[in-house]
Amino acid sequence: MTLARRAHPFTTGAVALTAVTLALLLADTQDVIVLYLVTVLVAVATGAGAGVRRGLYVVVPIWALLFILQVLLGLDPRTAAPWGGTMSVPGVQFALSQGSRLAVIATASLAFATTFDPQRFLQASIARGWPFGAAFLLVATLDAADRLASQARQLREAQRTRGVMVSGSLATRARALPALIFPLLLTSLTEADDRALALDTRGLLLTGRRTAIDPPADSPTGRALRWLMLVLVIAAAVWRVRR
Amino acid sequence: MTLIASDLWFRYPVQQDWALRGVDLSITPGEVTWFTGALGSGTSTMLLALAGLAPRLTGGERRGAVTLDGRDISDGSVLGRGIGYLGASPMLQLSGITNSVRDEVAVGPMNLGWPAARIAEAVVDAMARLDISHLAARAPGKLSGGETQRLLLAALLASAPSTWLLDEPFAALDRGSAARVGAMLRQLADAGHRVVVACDDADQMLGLADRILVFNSGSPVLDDLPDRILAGDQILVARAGTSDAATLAFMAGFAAPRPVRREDLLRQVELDPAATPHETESSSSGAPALDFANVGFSYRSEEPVLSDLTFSIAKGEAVGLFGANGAGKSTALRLAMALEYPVRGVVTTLGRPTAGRFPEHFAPQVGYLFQQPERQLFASSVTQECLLAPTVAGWNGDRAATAVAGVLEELGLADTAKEHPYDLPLPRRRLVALAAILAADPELLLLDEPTAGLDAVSRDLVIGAVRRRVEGGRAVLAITHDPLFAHEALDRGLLLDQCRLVLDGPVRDVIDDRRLRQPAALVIAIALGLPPGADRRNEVARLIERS
Repeated sequence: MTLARRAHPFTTGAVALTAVTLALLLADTQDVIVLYLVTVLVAVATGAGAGVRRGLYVVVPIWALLFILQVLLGLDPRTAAPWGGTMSVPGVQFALSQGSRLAVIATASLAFATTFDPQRFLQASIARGWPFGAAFLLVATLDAADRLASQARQLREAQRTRGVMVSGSLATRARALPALIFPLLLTSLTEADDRALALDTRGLLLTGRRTAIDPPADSPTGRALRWLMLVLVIAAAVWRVRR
Repeated sequence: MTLIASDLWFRYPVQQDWALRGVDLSITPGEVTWFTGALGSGTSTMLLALAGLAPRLTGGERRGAVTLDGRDISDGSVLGRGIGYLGASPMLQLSGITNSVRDEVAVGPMNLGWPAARIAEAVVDAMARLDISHLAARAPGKLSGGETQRLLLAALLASAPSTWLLDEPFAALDRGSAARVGAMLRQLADAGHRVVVACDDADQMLGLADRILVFNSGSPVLDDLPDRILAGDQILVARAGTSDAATLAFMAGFAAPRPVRREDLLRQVELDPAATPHETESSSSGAPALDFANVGFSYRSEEPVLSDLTFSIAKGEAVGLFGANGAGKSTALRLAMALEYPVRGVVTTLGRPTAGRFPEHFAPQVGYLFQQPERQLFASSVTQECLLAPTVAGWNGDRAATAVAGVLEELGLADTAKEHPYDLPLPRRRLVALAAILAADPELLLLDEPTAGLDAVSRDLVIGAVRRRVEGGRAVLAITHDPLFAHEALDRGLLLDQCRLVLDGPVRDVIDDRRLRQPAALVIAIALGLPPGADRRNEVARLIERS
């Protein structure tokens, strides 16, 4: 099991949240770039490299858009570009700054999501005496995409077994999309009813004290790291306000 | 200490008709109470109302009252009031917050705030009683249908409810598991718990239930001892299913009270061996519709699910795939439909290897009924759902419409043609899913539990539909835990055990004491030495009648 998965869920959450907050607070472009590199390094080193990869899926199209709109078509003054022609000087600054900022947010969030274990998080919340409803809401929200994907997969299978072409060329897939979306919405509504029944019958709507089953261990190092993250965020906020 | 419904009326949102009509009943501790009735008779709704889930979660309108120990049932959580509820689709009741079977069983006690030591003890005990200890580390979402059912029953058991409300708890269970669950329910009732089971399998409930309530059009019309009701005519008037032996006795012209147990019927019939019919002609032809050659399969790096599986199904042959829960039966069907591909060996469906092909290359010549088809419908009406396969097959409008009308009539769905599939109750949705694949007259039918949750009348319709296609030269591979369907609809049985095929022979060889319960007709046929094919209900009933 990787370090990111072994760690207490509050610690991984604190680290991810700190990265996101710093990305929003830091003003200098080079600081944000360094933050992105550190985020990537930490994610890869702790076994959350999948989050980096998924983050790139999200930000590469945005980087491309920033490059076109800001670097190629941006405001004057312009300077010579390495590939020939010219590029916008403030555009380069803006693209690097915002591109890195978005990359930090995407990478930190997705690295956290890929290593997030709903059961460990809920058990940690129960052990800490946190409101179960809020913790469950977070878990359900993070789990919603998986549930929807699973439902879509079932519907797609059902359609394929009835001869509906849903794979093949891009055009074929595009044509099949509306036939998938509307039933998916309908089944999602039905799913919501079913979830409500499951929650009620399994006691998840009960109020009052719950018992944590095998809650994740919270080491002194983990606790210290969370405090450190808090200090970092406060320091960055103070520095930003004073600047 | 009684669960009481007083002048209870209930209707679902948007519906004009009442699903429950003025129900008065009380459920007392120490009894197993059995609800039965035809589809739409109100048994499942009654369970929801007794649990306090209707209308609190379902919406709709309720009149009258349901009280538990004097308090209205609508107050508070189901489990918090000591009620254990199991719905007809257990997959939908998984909590979604656990990674292992062990932790899923612990969800109820955890939410009840029990001490950790008590939880651990309850979880171990519940898993042992439901025989799922060996699944403790498995992910709940990756279990088979039957294993999930046992898991949820264990989860209820661990929470120690005093009232058990169970909707078709035996539907996906193999025979051993069903017996285990039956024994557990008996023990719970004997220990003073209230146990209410909605079930259409009379033979399963016979000997377990202390009391039967037969529902018709939203209210109980019969309330007595099971043996007395099952032996009579009134249960048939209410269109509910009686025991297999009583049904056979009715078909053979016995007057009420009829024998309700197979052994009793066997004692009462005196047959003339000379009248024994000859073996019926098989309509199977040599051309294989489905062929598995040394097939092995596993999901990623997990343990093998199937190993060295070899069999062939000819056209005009109906074959059953049997085995304990989790034996790999559904996986075999998915391989046949090219939803999965073998790791080793070759699967050939309708003469074409599945490797390199997709399900859409085989549909609609191959019809696939999922284990949970209720959630896999996607058209805006029952008719539209059924028109899809004929349209894909390239049939013209008239031919398609005629075929759809025919199959809806055949499965008793003609009155629902314009309805949205999701407006129908779960068992009817299952019938719609079956109608949707039958409409294009497939050459090969792959059916996963086609009769689960159906009442006796609907089950007979499905049996009839399958037999007609087999006699018309179509091939069938079906997974079922329903002994009557297996015996009446299928010719040959394949038994899977430990990932391997351990038996391939006449279906009645598989329906023996260890695998499936023997239907009454088969018991009599074996006693008389009738050959396979001559042992079905109609043949045996005719023989009894003639004698």
